[in-house]
Amino acid sequence: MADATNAEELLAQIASGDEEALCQLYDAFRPRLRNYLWRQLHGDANAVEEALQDVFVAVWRTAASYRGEARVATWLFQIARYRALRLRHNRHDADLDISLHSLDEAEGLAAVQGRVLGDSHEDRVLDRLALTQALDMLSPKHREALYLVSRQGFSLEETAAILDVPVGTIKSRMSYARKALLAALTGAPKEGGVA
Amino acid sequence: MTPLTCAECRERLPEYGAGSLADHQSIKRHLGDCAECRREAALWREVSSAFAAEDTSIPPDTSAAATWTTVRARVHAPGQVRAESGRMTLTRSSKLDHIGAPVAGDTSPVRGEERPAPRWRSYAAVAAVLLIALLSAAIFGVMNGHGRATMVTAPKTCAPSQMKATLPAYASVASISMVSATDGWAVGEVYDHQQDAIPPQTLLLRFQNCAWTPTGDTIPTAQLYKVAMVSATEGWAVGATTKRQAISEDLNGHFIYDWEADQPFLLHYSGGQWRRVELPGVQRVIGVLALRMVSADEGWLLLDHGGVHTDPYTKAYSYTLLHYQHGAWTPVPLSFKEPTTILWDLVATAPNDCWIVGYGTALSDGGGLIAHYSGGDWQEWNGTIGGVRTYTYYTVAMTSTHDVWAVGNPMLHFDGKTWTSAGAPALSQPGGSDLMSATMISPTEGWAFFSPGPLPNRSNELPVLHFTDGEWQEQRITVVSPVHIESLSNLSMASPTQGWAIGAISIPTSYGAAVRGVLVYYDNGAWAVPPGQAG
Repeated sequence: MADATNAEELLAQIASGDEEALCQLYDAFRPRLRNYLWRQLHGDANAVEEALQDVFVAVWRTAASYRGEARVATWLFQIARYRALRLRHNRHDADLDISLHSLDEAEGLAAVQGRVLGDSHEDRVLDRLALTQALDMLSPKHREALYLVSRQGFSLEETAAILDVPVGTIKSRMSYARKALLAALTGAPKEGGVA
Repeated sequence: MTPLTCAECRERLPEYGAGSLADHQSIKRHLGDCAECRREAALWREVSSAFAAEDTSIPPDTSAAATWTTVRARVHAPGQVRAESGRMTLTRSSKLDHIGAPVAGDTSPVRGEERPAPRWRSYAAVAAVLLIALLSAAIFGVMNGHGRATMVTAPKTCAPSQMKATLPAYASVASISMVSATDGWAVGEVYDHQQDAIPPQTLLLRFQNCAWTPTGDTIPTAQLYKVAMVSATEGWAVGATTKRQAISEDLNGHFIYDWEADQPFLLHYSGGQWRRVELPGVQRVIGVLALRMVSADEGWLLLDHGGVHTDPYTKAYSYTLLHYQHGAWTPVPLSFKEPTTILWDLVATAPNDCWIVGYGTALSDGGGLIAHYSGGDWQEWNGTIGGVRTYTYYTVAMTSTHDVWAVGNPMLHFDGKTWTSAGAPALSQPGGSDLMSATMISPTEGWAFFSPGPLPNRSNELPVLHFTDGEWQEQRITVVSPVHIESLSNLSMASPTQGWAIGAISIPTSYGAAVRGVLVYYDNGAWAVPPGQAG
């Protein structure tokens, strides 16, 4: 994994036309971007590869315009998200099937209500299942914000930059997600509305 | 250091739980004293682990090398332009021969290894059904004077500052056809992306007296894609009915719907009225690529039916080409086309003569495609054309059969005999964009526009190509606009120096960003969005 400094150095080399640097950046970030795009594109493998191509071609073309205002990773995820959105909404695919999230919220809540985080191994397995179900019940926007922070390690500010929303919106989404998760795990009612 | 409150601590716990918080000492101190926050920190650790567990369900990555090969080929494609110190520079690579991987279409994923045998369907049966007599089935609307050319007397000349548009809320313009500096038509749809239960309806705009106004004639649950006027009294538009389809889900997990194209239809403007003309037998479309009228008696229509996978790595794309002659739209077989070929645009200026561009997506037919229909026969160029390796063509523009531009990567010019890139420098594609629209004002002047960049535009500056002084030159134009313009397209000239184009703006929706088209006025190099399009 390229650390931040190394990634910036790679980007400078790419800006000067170094293809090997692009290859290194590709190797370093492909796994993370692929996991993210896999979620964004609902597991459409062709679309994921197309988006990955577009991301790194865009990096090659615009590396010199990178101003260092955000981490390279943030910049790459911004591009990846935008490419994914464009693929989802502008594609000319008559047969592209989007597997829609279909878990019924009430049913899902009932299934996980009453669970609390326990200490035994069995409890932890059950907790993981309950938590996974609770995460599944979050809306795509809340789940995406949560994923970028909790799995991809972006700060709230970086996540806001990737999702192109104010940081306050991210804080609201995280707060809502927290309440929803706690409600699902403990049976407590969710507070407040949707951010 | 001031101790954190629980609220301050909890705000940062997601990052703490992911192990990404640089300054976590104050969090640790607070957790040491607060059992409630410790429990919540455990929750966020579990969330991080749960996501990690989910990622393990993603199939193993077996495409890294193949995708890298394609990325490498694409970045070395001739004509790629790279940003440098705030300006775009043109590069022309000669490394392609060393790459070892043919380059296919610019935006398609992994390609199939073998080109399927030509199996473009026979049009005989389709033709029997599609021998379409003009079915003036329904009068679409009566234009109440403003649609009658005979009523347009002493047209008012407008100063740029007088231009305005009175568009309904949620109007999106898709195509413009100017008849003169004082007369023109535009089409599109009216659709609120936040109210997806309400279907779109067609938008039909007339430009008169310095203002764009809706005619008041609409078709529900339908949208219009293209308009092509022949004169003030004769023209055509094409649209499609729409059907509702689930595409995503909203913040509460409820499905989000969108309205997608379904059955195409035409509108014919004649005698001051628009009449709807059905296209029986034409299968469902996903879009309309081109509508070009050569004269009142001849025109072309290219419909897009989309692609279907023939195997995990290959798609077959289908299109319908209709030719208007002798009062009827009849299908013309696209005999030059392989199943994997993607078509993008058509242009025509002379009788029995049209040009289509696109590109191949299979490894064996990868590269740009140009097809010329003349007197009943197709002539095709693809791959290496005029000694130049080609890649993708999304649009074609011409002023005569001796002045045709295949606009894309790379730009080629046809002088009536041969294709050549001489005098046409490699074209830029900043930020991963492609040249998607071009208009030749004359043999010595033209404009070419890019698709939106990889990131939202934060200024009203746009990179464009301007053909002037015998060559395509990069320019950054400023669009005077209250909203950020992501791209321009569809410039329709009303005079040698004035015209109208469509600006794409990004609008937020519950599922991401959608694009809406606004009217942009062009006056001798200046671009501006007139007021009245805020809805």
